[in-house]
Amino acid sequence: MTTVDPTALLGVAAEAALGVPGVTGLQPRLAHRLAAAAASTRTHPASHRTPPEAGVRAERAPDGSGWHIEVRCVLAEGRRAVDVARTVHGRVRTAVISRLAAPEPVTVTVTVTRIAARYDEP
Amino acid sequence: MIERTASPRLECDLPDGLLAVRAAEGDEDSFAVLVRRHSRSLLTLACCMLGNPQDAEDAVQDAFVSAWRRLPEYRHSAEFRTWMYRITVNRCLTMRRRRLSPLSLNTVVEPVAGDAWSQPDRSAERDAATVALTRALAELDAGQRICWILREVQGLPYREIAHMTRTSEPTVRGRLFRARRSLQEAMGPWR
Amino acid sequence: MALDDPHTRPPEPPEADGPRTGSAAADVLPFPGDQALPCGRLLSRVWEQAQDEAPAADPHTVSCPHCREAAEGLATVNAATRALRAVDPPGLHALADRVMNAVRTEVGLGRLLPLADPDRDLRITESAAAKALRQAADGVPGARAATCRLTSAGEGTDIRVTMTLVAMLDRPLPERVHQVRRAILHSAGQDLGLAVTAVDISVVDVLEPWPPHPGAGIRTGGGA
Repeated sequence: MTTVDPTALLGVAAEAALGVPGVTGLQPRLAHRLAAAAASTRTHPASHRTPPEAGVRAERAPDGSGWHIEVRCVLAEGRRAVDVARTVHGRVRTAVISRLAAPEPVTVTVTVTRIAARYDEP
Repeated sequence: MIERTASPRLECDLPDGLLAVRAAEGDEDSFAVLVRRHSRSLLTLACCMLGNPQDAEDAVQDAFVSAWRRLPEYRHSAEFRTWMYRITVNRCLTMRRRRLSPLSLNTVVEPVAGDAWSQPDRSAERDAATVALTRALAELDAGQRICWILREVQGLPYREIAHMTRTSEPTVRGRLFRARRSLQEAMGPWR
Repeated sequence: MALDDPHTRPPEPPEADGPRTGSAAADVLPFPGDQALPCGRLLSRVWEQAQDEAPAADPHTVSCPHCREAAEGLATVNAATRALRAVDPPGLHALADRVMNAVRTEVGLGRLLPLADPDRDLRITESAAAKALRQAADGVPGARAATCRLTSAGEGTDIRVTMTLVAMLDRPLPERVHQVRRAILHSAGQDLGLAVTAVDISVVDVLEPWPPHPGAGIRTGGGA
Protein backbone atom coordinates (compact mmCIF):
# COMPACT_ATOMS: atom_id res chain seq x y z
CA MET A 1 0.00 0.00 0.00
CA THR A 2 1.42 3.34 -1.03
CA THR A 3 -0.69 5.63 1.14
CA VAL A 4 1.58 8.14 2.86
CA ASP A 5 0.67 10.95 5.18
CA PRO A 6 1.76 14.16 3.34
CA THR A 7 2.35 15.86 6.69
CA ALA A 8 4.94 13.24 7.55
CA LEU A 9 6.67 13.89 4.23
CA LEU A 10 6.77 17.62 4.96
CA GLY A 11 8.49 17.02 8.28
CA VAL A 12 11.03 14.65 6.75
CA ALA A 13 11.82 17.03 3.92
CA ALA A 14 12.13 20.02 6.26
CA GLU A 15 14.48 18.16 8.56
CA ALA A 16 16.65 17.04 5.64
CA ALA A 17 16.86 20.57 4.22
CA LEU A 18 17.64 22.19 7.56
CA GLY A 19 20.47 19.72 8.10
CA VAL A 20 22.37 20.98 5.06
CA PRO A 21 25.27 23.30 5.96
CA GLY A 22 24.53 26.79 4.68
CA VAL A 23 20.76 26.54 5.15
CA THR A 24 19.67 28.87 7.95
CA GLY A 25 15.93 28.44 7.64
CA LEU A 26 12.97 27.62 5.49
CA GLN A 27 10.80 30.37 4.12
CA PRO A 28 7.18 29.90 5.16
CA ARG A 29 4.53 30.47 2.58
CA LEU A 30 2.59 33.72 2.66
CA ALA A 31 -0.50 32.18 4.26
CA HIS A 32 1.57 30.91 7.17
CA ARG A 33 3.33 34.20 7.58
CA LEU A 34 0.05 36.11 7.58
CA ALA A 35 -1.41 33.72 10.14
CA ALA A 36 1.67 34.14 12.34
CA ALA A 37 1.50 37.91 12.01
CA ALA A 38 -2.19 37.93 12.91
CA ALA A 39 -1.49 35.85 16.00
CA SER A 40 1.52 37.90 16.98
CA THR A 41 1.19 40.52 19.66
CA ARG A 42 3.18 43.59 20.37
CA THR A 43 4.62 42.28 23.59
CA HIS A 44 5.75 38.90 22.30
CA PRO A 45 6.54 39.31 18.64
CA ALA A 46 8.91 36.34 18.63
CA SER A 47 6.59 33.91 20.38
CA HIS A 48 4.71 32.85 17.27
CA ARG A 49 7.17 30.93 15.21
CA THR A 50 5.92 29.17 12.15
CA PRO A 51 6.91 25.49 11.98
CA PRO A 52 9.68 24.63 9.50
CA GLU A 53 7.26 22.45 7.52
CA ALA A 54 5.60 25.69 6.43
CA GLY A 55 8.54 26.13 4.04
CA VAL A 56 7.88 22.83 2.25
CA ARG A 57 5.10 21.76 -0.06
CA ALA A 58 4.38 18.14 -0.97
CA GLU A 59 2.02 17.35 -3.83
CA ARG A 60 0.97 14.18 -5.46
CA ALA A 61 1.13 14.37 -9.24
CA PRO A 62 -2.39 14.64 -10.67
CA ASP A 63 -2.10 11.29 -12.44
CA GLY A 64 -0.98 9.59 -9.24
CA SER A 65 2.43 8.87 -10.69
CA GLY A 66 4.52 10.22 -7.82
CA TRP A 67 5.35 13.08 -5.49
CA HIS A 68 6.53 16.59 -6.11
CA ILE A 69 8.29 18.35 -3.24
CA GLU A 70 9.11 22.06 -3.18
CA VAL A 71 11.49 23.46 -0.58
CA ARG A 72 12.05 27.17 -0.02
CA CYS A 73 15.36 27.86 1.71
CA VAL A 74 17.04 30.83 3.30
CA LEU A 75 20.81 30.47 2.96
CA ALA A 76 23.68 31.95 4.90
CA GLU A 77 26.17 34.10 3.04
CA GLY A 78 29.51 32.44 2.40
CA ARG A 79 28.67 29.30 0.43
CA ARG A 80 27.89 29.00 -3.23
CA ALA A 81 24.11 29.02 -3.53
CA VAL A 82 23.93 26.45 -6.31
CA ASP A 83 26.04 23.97 -4.33
CA VAL A 84 23.89 24.31 -1.22
CA ALA A 85 20.72 24.02 -3.31
CA ARG A 86 22.07 20.90 -5.01
CA THR A 87 22.81 19.26 -1.66
CA VAL A 88 19.35 20.19 -0.38
CA HIS A 89 17.86 18.70 -3.55
CA GLY A 90 19.69 15.40 -3.06
CA ARG A 91 19.07 15.02 0.65
CA VAL A 92 15.41 15.95 0.48
CA ARG A 93 14.83 13.54 -2.36
CA THR A 94 16.60 10.70 -0.53
CA ALA A 95 14.78 11.41 2.72
CA VAL A 96 11.36 11.48 1.06
CA ILE A 97 11.99 8.30 -0.93
CA SER A 98 13.08 6.49 2.22
CA ARG A 99 9.81 7.46 3.83
CA LEU A 100 7.58 6.13 1.05
CA ALA A 101 6.06 2.71 1.70
CA ALA A 102 6.56 1.65 -1.90
CA PRO A 103 8.86 3.00 -4.64
CA GLU A 104 7.38 6.04 -6.35
CA PRO A 105 8.97 8.76 -8.48
CA VAL A 106 9.92 11.86 -6.48
CA THR A 107 10.78 15.20 -8.07
CA VAL A 108 12.17 18.06 -6.01
CA THR A 109 12.33 21.81 -6.62
CA VAL A 110 14.63 23.89 -4.44
CA THR A 111 14.06 27.62 -4.31
CA VAL A 112 16.59 29.94 -2.67
CA THR A 113 14.43 32.78 -1.40
CA ARG A 114 17.00 34.82 0.45
CA ILE A 115 20.67 34.91 1.28
CA ALA A 116 20.95 36.28 4.79
CA ALA A 117 23.80 38.71 5.34
CA ARG A 118 26.31 38.04 8.06
CA TYR A 119 25.60 40.83 10.44
CA ASP A 120 27.92 42.76 12.67
CA GLU A 121 26.61 42.20 16.14
CA PRO A 122 25.85 45.56 17.72
CA MET B 1 10.05 33.57 9.98
CA ILE B 2 10.87 35.98 12.74
CA GLU B 3 14.32 37.42 12.29
CA ARG B 4 16.47 39.85 14.10
CA THR B 5 17.18 43.06 12.32
CA ALA B 6 20.84 43.88 12.78
CA SER B 7 23.21 46.16 10.92
CA PRO B 8 24.21 44.88 7.51
CA ARG B 9 27.77 45.87 6.75
CA LEU B 10 27.76 47.61 3.43
CA GLU B 11 24.37 49.28 3.24
CA CYS B 12 25.07 51.52 6.22
CA ASP B 13 27.19 53.93 4.22
CA LEU B 14 24.70 54.39 1.39
CA PRO B 15 22.60 57.53 0.95
CA ASP B 16 18.83 57.31 1.36
CA GLY B 17 18.06 57.63 -2.34
CA LEU B 18 20.13 54.60 -3.27
CA LEU B 19 18.73 52.53 -0.42
CA ALA B 20 15.21 53.45 -1.53
CA VAL B 21 15.98 52.32 -5.09
CA ARG B 22 17.21 48.98 -3.80
CA ALA B 23 14.33 48.58 -1.37
CA ALA B 24 11.88 49.26 -4.20
CA GLU B 25 13.32 46.18 -5.93
CA GLY B 26 12.56 44.09 -2.86
CA ASP B 27 15.83 44.44 -0.94
CA GLU B 28 14.63 44.18 2.64
CA ASP B 29 18.05 44.81 4.16
CA SER B 30 18.31 48.18 2.44
CA PHE B 31 14.87 49.04 3.73
CA ALA B 32 15.97 47.96 7.23
CA VAL B 33 18.79 50.52 7.08
CA LEU B 34 16.28 53.23 6.14
CA VAL B 35 14.00 52.15 8.97
CA ARG B 36 16.81 52.33 11.52
CA ARG B 37 18.05 55.62 10.16
CA HIS B 38 14.68 57.36 10.37
CA SER B 39 12.70 55.68 13.11
CA ARG B 40 14.04 57.91 15.85
CA SER B 41 12.90 61.21 14.36
CA LEU B 42 9.62 59.76 13.09
CA LEU B 43 8.83 58.26 16.47
CA THR B 44 9.62 61.57 18.19
CA LEU B 45 7.30 63.25 15.70
CA ALA B 46 4.50 60.74 16.28
CA CYS B 47 4.92 60.87 20.07
CA CYS B 48 4.59 64.64 20.01
CA MET B 49 1.59 64.49 17.68
CA LEU B 50 -0.32 61.72 19.39
CA GLY B 51 0.85 62.12 22.98
CA ASN B 52 0.76 58.38 23.51
CA PRO B 53 3.84 56.21 22.97
CA GLN B 54 1.90 53.10 21.96
CA ASP B 55 -0.16 54.92 19.37
CA ALA B 56 3.04 56.57 18.15
CA GLU B 57 4.73 53.20 17.66
CA ASP B 58 1.71 51.92 15.77
CA ALA B 59 1.61 55.02 13.60
CA VAL B 60 5.28 54.80 12.67
CA GLN B 61 5.11 51.07 12.01
CA ASP B 62 2.06 51.57 9.77
CA ALA B 63 3.84 54.40 7.99
CA PHE B 64 6.90 52.29 7.24
CA VAL B 65 4.87 49.31 6.06
CA SER B 66 2.83 51.61 3.85
CA ALA B 67 6.07 53.12 2.50
CA TRP B 68 7.41 49.64 1.73
CA ARG B 69 4.28 48.91 -0.31
CA ARG B 70 4.46 52.22 -2.14
CA LEU B 71 8.21 52.27 -2.77
CA PRO B 72 7.90 51.00 -6.35
CA GLU B 73 5.93 54.15 -7.20
CA TYR B 74 8.10 56.52 -5.12
CA ARG B 75 9.58 58.78 -7.77
CA HIS B 76 12.27 60.55 -5.76
CA SER B 77 10.67 63.94 -6.41
CA ALA B 78 10.95 64.46 -2.66
CA GLU B 79 13.72 63.19 -0.43
CA PHE B 80 12.97 59.88 1.24
CA ARG B 81 13.00 61.58 4.63
CA THR B 82 10.38 64.13 3.53
CA TRP B 83 8.30 61.43 1.90
CA MET B 84 8.34 59.44 5.16
CA TYR B 85 7.37 62.54 7.16
CA ARG B 86 4.36 63.03 4.93
CA ILE B 87 3.23 59.45 5.32
CA THR B 88 3.74 59.54 9.08
CA VAL B 89 1.97 62.87 9.55
CA ASN B 90 -0.99 61.61 7.53
CA ARG B 91 -1.07 58.43 9.56
CA CYS B 92 -1.02 60.37 12.83
CA LEU B 93 -3.81 62.66 11.65
CA THR B 94 -5.92 59.67 10.67
CA MET B 95 -5.33 58.06 14.05
CA ARG B 96 -6.27 61.24 15.87
CA ARG B 97 -9.47 61.55 13.86
CA ARG B 98 -10.37 57.98 14.56
CA ARG B 99 -9.64 58.33 18.25
CA LEU B 100 -11.60 61.54 18.57
CA SER B 101 -14.59 60.42 16.56
CA PRO B 102 -17.73 60.30 18.74
CA LEU B 103 -18.79 57.21 16.80
CA SER B 104 -15.59 55.39 17.67
CA LEU B 105 -16.24 51.95 19.09
CA ASN B 106 -12.83 51.78 20.71
CA THR B 107 -13.22 50.48 24.21
CA VAL B 108 -10.51 52.74 25.53
CA VAL B 109 -10.41 56.28 24.26
CA GLU B 110 -7.37 57.80 25.86
CA PRO B 111 -7.10 61.51 26.30
CA VAL B 112 -3.96 63.13 24.97
CA ALA B 113 -1.80 62.58 28.01
CA GLY B 114 0.33 65.51 29.05
CA ASP B 115 2.97 63.25 30.51
CA ALA B 116 2.98 60.71 27.74
CA TRP B 117 6.71 60.28 27.90
CA SER B 118 7.01 60.12 31.64
CA GLN B 119 6.17 56.44 31.96
CA PRO B 120 7.10 55.22 35.45
CA ASP B 121 10.05 53.14 34.26
CA ARG B 122 11.44 55.99 32.23
CA SER B 123 10.90 59.00 34.44
CA ALA B 124 14.30 58.62 36.07
CA GLU B 125 16.13 59.15 32.82
CA ARG B 126 13.78 61.85 31.60
CA ASP B 127 15.01 65.34 31.80
CA ALA B 128 12.61 67.53 33.77
CA ALA B 129 12.69 70.12 31.00
CA THR B 130 11.60 67.53 28.46
CA VAL B 131 8.67 66.52 30.60
CA ALA B 132 7.65 70.13 31.09
CA LEU B 133 7.91 70.79 27.36
CA THR B 134 5.90 67.68 26.50
CA ARG B 135 3.20 68.79 28.94
CA ALA B 136 3.14 72.25 27.45
CA LEU B 137 2.98 70.79 23.95
CA ALA B 138 -0.03 68.69 24.85
CA GLU B 139 -1.87 71.86 25.85
CA LEU B 140 -1.36 73.42 22.44
CA ASP B 141 -3.92 73.55 19.71
CA ALA B 142 -3.26 70.56 17.42
CA GLY B 143 -2.49 72.67 14.37
CA GLN B 144 0.03 74.75 16.29
CA ARG B 145 1.58 71.68 17.85
CA ILE B 146 2.27 69.92 14.56
CA CYS B 147 3.76 73.07 12.99
CA TRP B 148 6.00 73.61 16.00
CA ILE B 149 7.20 69.99 16.08
CA LEU B 150 7.94 69.87 12.37
CA ARG B 151 9.83 73.16 12.53
CA GLU B 152 11.60 73.17 15.89
CA VAL B 153 12.19 69.47 16.53
CA GLN B 154 12.46 68.16 12.99
CA GLY B 155 13.79 71.27 11.25
CA LEU B 156 11.64 71.06 8.12
CA PRO B 157 11.27 74.05 5.77
CA TYR B 158 8.09 76.15 6.00
CA ARG B 159 6.99 75.14 2.52
CA GLU B 160 7.23 71.47 3.43
CA ILE B 161 5.28 72.00 6.65
CA ALA B 162 2.58 73.92 4.78
CA HIS B 163 2.33 71.08 2.28
CA MET B 164 2.07 68.40 4.98
CA THR B 165 -0.52 70.25 7.03
CA ARG B 166 -2.40 71.38 3.92
CA THR B 167 -2.18 75.04 4.79
CA SER B 168 -0.23 78.03 3.56
CA GLU B 169 3.21 79.20 4.63
CA PRO B 170 1.83 82.31 6.36
CA THR B 171 -0.55 80.09 8.31
CA VAL B 172 2.36 77.91 9.35
CA ARG B 173 4.29 80.97 10.50
CA GLY B 174 1.30 82.27 12.40
CA ARG B 175 0.79 78.95 14.16
CA LEU B 176 4.48 78.78 14.97
CA PHE B 177 4.36 82.21 16.54
CA ARG B 178 1.38 81.33 18.70
CA ALA B 179 2.97 78.01 19.64
CA ARG B 180 6.20 79.75 20.70
CA ARG B 181 4.22 82.27 22.68
CA SER B 182 2.23 79.57 24.51
CA LEU B 183 5.28 77.40 25.15
CA GLN B 184 7.25 80.35 26.43
CA GLU B 185 4.44 81.27 28.79
CA ALA B 186 4.15 77.70 29.99
CA MET B 187 7.86 77.09 30.38
CA GLY B 188 9.19 80.32 31.76
CA PRO B 189 8.36 84.00 31.96
CA TRP B 190 10.15 86.93 30.40
CA ARG B 191 13.33 87.70 32.13
CA MET C 1 -7.25 70.71 26.26
CA ALA C 2 -7.18 71.34 22.57
CA LEU C 3 -8.20 68.21 20.77
CA ASP C 4 -9.19 69.60 17.45
CA ASP C 5 -7.62 68.57 14.22
CA PRO C 6 -6.26 70.86 11.52
CA HIS C 7 -8.64 69.34 9.02
CA THR C 8 -11.77 69.92 11.02
CA ARG C 9 -10.90 73.32 12.41
CA PRO C 10 -12.34 76.48 10.97
CA PRO C 11 -9.80 78.30 8.84
CA GLU C 12 -7.32 80.64 10.44
CA PRO C 13 -8.35 84.26 10.85
CA PRO C 14 -7.94 85.92 7.46
CA GLU C 15 -5.25 88.29 8.67
CA ALA C 16 -3.03 85.30 9.46
CA ASP C 17 -2.88 84.42 5.79
CA GLY C 18 -1.44 87.75 4.72
CA PRO C 19 1.97 87.79 3.13
CA ARG C 20 4.91 87.86 5.49
CA THR C 21 6.91 90.82 4.41
CA GLY C 22 10.37 91.65 5.66
CA SER C 23 11.19 92.95 9.09
CA ALA C 24 10.28 96.55 8.55
CA ALA C 25 8.60 98.45 11.35
CA ALA C 26 5.82 99.36 8.93
CA ASP C 27 4.45 95.80 9.13
CA VAL C 28 0.88 95.47 10.18
CA LEU C 29 0.39 93.07 13.06
CA PRO C 30 -0.19 89.90 11.05
CA PHE C 31 -0.68 87.40 13.86
CA PRO C 32 -3.13 87.62 16.73
CA GLY C 33 -1.20 88.27 19.91
CA ASP C 34 1.79 89.70 18.08
CA GLN C 35 3.31 92.88 19.43
CA ALA C 36 5.72 95.56 18.34
CA LEU C 37 8.86 95.91 20.43
CA PRO C 38 10.00 99.39 21.53
CA CYS C 39 12.43 99.37 18.57
CA GLY C 40 9.54 98.85 16.16
CA ARG C 41 10.23 95.26 15.24
CA LEU C 42 7.51 92.66 15.54
CA LEU C 43 8.00 90.02 18.19
CA SER C 44 6.96 87.25 15.77
CA ARG C 45 9.55 88.37 13.24
CA VAL C 46 12.32 88.68 15.84
CA TRP C 47 11.63 85.16 17.01
CA GLU C 48 11.61 83.84 13.47
CA GLN C 49 14.96 85.47 12.80
CA ALA C 50 16.42 84.24 16.06
CA GLN C 51 15.34 80.66 15.37
CA ASP C 52 15.93 80.48 11.63
CA GLU C 53 18.82 82.70 10.65
CA ALA C 54 22.50 82.97 11.30
CA PRO C 55 23.23 85.10 14.38
CA ALA C 56 24.79 88.01 12.48
CA ALA C 57 22.39 88.01 9.53
CA ASP C 58 20.69 91.28 10.51
CA PRO C 59 22.82 94.16 11.86
CA HIS C 60 19.85 95.61 13.73
CA THR C 61 19.16 92.57 15.89
CA VAL C 62 22.85 92.20 16.72
CA SER C 63 22.90 95.60 18.36
CA CYS C 64 19.29 96.10 19.51
CA PRO C 65 18.78 95.31 23.22
CA HIS C 66 15.01 94.89 22.78
CA CYS C 67 15.40 92.34 20.04
CA ARG C 68 18.05 90.51 22.00
CA GLU C 69 15.88 90.40 25.11
CA ALA C 70 12.94 89.11 23.08
CA ALA C 71 15.05 86.41 21.47
CA GLU C 72 16.44 85.34 24.83
CA GLY C 73 12.88 84.87 26.03
CA LEU C 74 12.84 81.61 24.11
CA ALA C 75 15.98 80.29 25.81
CA THR C 76 14.13 77.99 28.21
CA VAL C 77 11.99 76.55 25.45
CA ASN C 78 15.03 76.09 23.23
CA ALA C 79 16.98 74.28 25.93
CA ALA C 80 14.04 71.92 26.50
CA THR C 81 13.71 71.40 22.74
CA ARG C 82 17.34 70.34 22.54
CA ALA C 83 16.76 67.93 25.41
CA LEU C 84 13.68 66.53 23.66
CA ARG C 85 15.68 65.94 20.48
CA ALA C 86 18.38 64.16 22.45
CA VAL C 87 16.06 61.76 24.29
CA ASP C 88 15.18 58.46 22.66
CA PRO C 89 11.41 58.20 22.35
CA PRO C 90 9.89 55.19 24.13
CA GLY C 91 9.68 52.03 22.06
CA LEU C 92 12.47 53.08 19.71
CA HIS C 93 14.65 50.04 20.16
CA ALA C 94 11.99 47.46 19.38
CA LEU C 95 10.51 49.47 16.54
CA ALA C 96 12.90 48.52 13.72
CA ASP C 97 12.44 44.81 14.43
CA ARG C 98 8.66 45.19 14.54
CA VAL C 99 8.64 47.04 11.25
CA MET C 100 10.88 44.56 9.49
CA ASN C 101 8.89 41.59 10.77
CA ALA C 102 5.74 43.21 9.41
CA VAL C 103 7.46 43.92 6.08
CA ARG C 104 8.81 40.38 5.77
CA THR C 105 5.30 39.07 6.32
CA GLU C 106 4.30 40.76 3.09
CA VAL C 107 7.20 39.96 0.87
CA GLY C 108 6.31 37.70 -2.02
CA LEU C 109 8.93 35.69 -3.83
CA GLY C 110 8.84 37.75 -7.00
CA ARG C 111 10.46 36.36 -10.11
CA LEU C 112 12.45 33.14 -10.00
CA LEU C 113 15.60 32.43 -11.98
CA PRO C 114 17.22 29.09 -12.71
CA LEU C 115 20.54 28.34 -11.00
CA ALA C 116 23.22 26.89 -13.27
CA ASP C 117 22.38 23.21 -12.91
CA PRO C 118 20.78 21.78 -16.04
CA ASP C 119 19.85 18.51 -14.36
CA ARG C 120 17.98 19.68 -11.31
CA ASP C 121 15.18 22.13 -10.64
CA LEU C 122 17.09 24.72 -8.58
CA ARG C 123 15.92 28.31 -8.49
CA ILE C 124 16.75 31.57 -6.80
CA THR C 125 14.59 34.65 -6.34
CA GLU C 126 15.56 37.65 -8.40
CA SER C 127 15.77 39.76 -5.22
CA ALA C 128 18.26 37.39 -3.56
CA ALA C 129 20.46 37.20 -6.66
CA ALA C 130 20.27 40.97 -7.22
CA LYS C 131 21.31 41.58 -3.66
CA ALA C 132 24.46 39.48 -4.04
CA LEU C 133 25.37 41.16 -7.33
CA ARG C 134 24.79 44.65 -5.95
CA GLN C 135 27.06 43.78 -3.06
CA ALA C 136 29.73 42.66 -5.52
CA ALA C 137 29.43 45.96 -7.39
CA ASP C 138 29.64 47.88 -4.11
CA GLY C 139 32.97 46.19 -3.50
CA VAL C 140 34.49 48.18 -6.37
CA PRO C 141 35.85 51.42 -4.83
CA GLY C 142 34.03 54.49 -6.10
CA ALA C 143 31.02 52.57 -7.39
CA ARG C 144 27.67 51.70 -5.84
CA ALA C 145 24.88 49.71 -7.45
CA ALA C 146 21.41 51.23 -7.79
CA THR C 147 18.93 49.02 -9.66
CA CYS C 148 19.71 45.44 -10.61
CA ARG C 149 17.40 43.30 -12.73
CA LEU C 150 17.99 39.75 -13.87
CA THR C 151 16.21 38.08 -16.77
CA SER C 152 16.47 34.83 -18.59
CA ALA C 153 18.69 35.19 -21.67
CA GLY C 154 17.50 32.82 -24.29
CA GLU C 155 17.71 29.10 -23.67
CA GLY C 156 18.58 27.07 -20.60
CA THR C 157 19.93 28.71 -17.50
CA ASP C 158 21.54 31.74 -19.19
CA ILE C 159 20.94 35.01 -17.37
CA ARG C 160 21.23 38.66 -18.42
CA VAL C 161 22.04 41.25 -15.73
CA THR C 162 20.99 44.88 -16.16
CA MET C 163 22.47 47.18 -13.55
CA THR C 164 22.52 50.92 -12.99
CA LEU C 165 25.41 52.44 -11.07
CA VAL C 166 26.34 55.60 -9.31
CA ALA C 167 30.03 56.27 -9.56
CA MET C 168 32.63 58.77 -8.48
CA LEU C 169 34.27 60.75 -11.25
CA ASP C 170 37.82 60.63 -9.89
CA ARG C 171 38.74 57.91 -12.37
CA PRO C 172 37.69 57.14 -15.94
CA LEU C 173 34.22 55.64 -16.03
CA PRO C 174 34.93 52.88 -18.59
CA GLU C 175 37.61 51.48 -16.31
CA ARG C 176 35.29 51.48 -13.33
CA VAL C 177 32.42 49.94 -15.30
CA HIS C 178 34.80 47.23 -16.46
CA GLN C 179 35.75 46.47 -12.86
CA VAL C 180 32.10 46.28 -11.87
CA ARG C 181 31.33 43.93 -14.76
CA ARG C 182 34.14 41.63 -13.65
CA ALA C 183 32.94 41.75 -10.04
CA ILE C 184 29.41 40.83 -11.16
CA LEU C 185 30.58 37.92 -13.28
CA HIS C 186 32.85 36.67 -10.51
CA SER C 187 30.13 36.86 -7.86
CA ALA C 188 27.53 35.26 -10.15
CA GLY C 189 29.86 32.31 -10.66
CA GLN C 190 31.43 32.01 -7.21
CA ASP C 191 28.77 33.19 -4.76
CA LEU C 192 25.62 32.14 -6.55
CA GLY C 193 26.26 29.67 -9.34
CA LEU C 194 24.30 31.66 -11.85
CA ALA C 195 25.15 31.42 -15.58
CA VAL C 196 25.39 35.13 -16.36
CA THR C 197 26.07 35.53 -20.07
CA ALA C 198 25.38 39.24 -20.52
CA VAL C 199 25.90 42.27 -18.27
CA ASP C 200 24.48 45.67 -19.19
CA ILE C 201 25.72 48.50 -17.01
CA SER C 202 24.77 52.15 -17.18
CA VAL C 203 26.06 54.90 -14.92
CA VAL C 204 23.09 57.02 -13.90
CA ASP C 205 24.46 59.42 -11.31
CA VAL C 206 27.54 60.77 -9.62
CA LEU C 207 28.40 59.20 -6.27
CA GLU C 208 28.84 61.95 -3.71
CA PRO C 209 30.71 61.36 -0.50
CA TRP C 210 28.37 60.05 2.20
CA PRO C 211 27.60 60.81 4.91
CA PRO C 212 27.67 64.52 4.09
CA HIS C 213 29.14 65.34 7.50
CA PRO C 214 32.13 63.20 8.38
CA GLY C 215 32.07 61.97 11.93
CA ALA C 216 28.29 61.66 11.98
CA GLY C 217 28.78 58.20 13.39
CA ILE C 218 28.05 56.29 10.21
CA ARG C 219 30.83 54.05 9.10
CA THR C 220 32.19 54.75 5.66
CA GLY C 221 34.09 52.59 3.27
CA GLY C 222 33.71 48.88 3.63
CA GLY C 223 33.91 46.46 0.78
CA ALA C 224 34.90 42.85 0.62
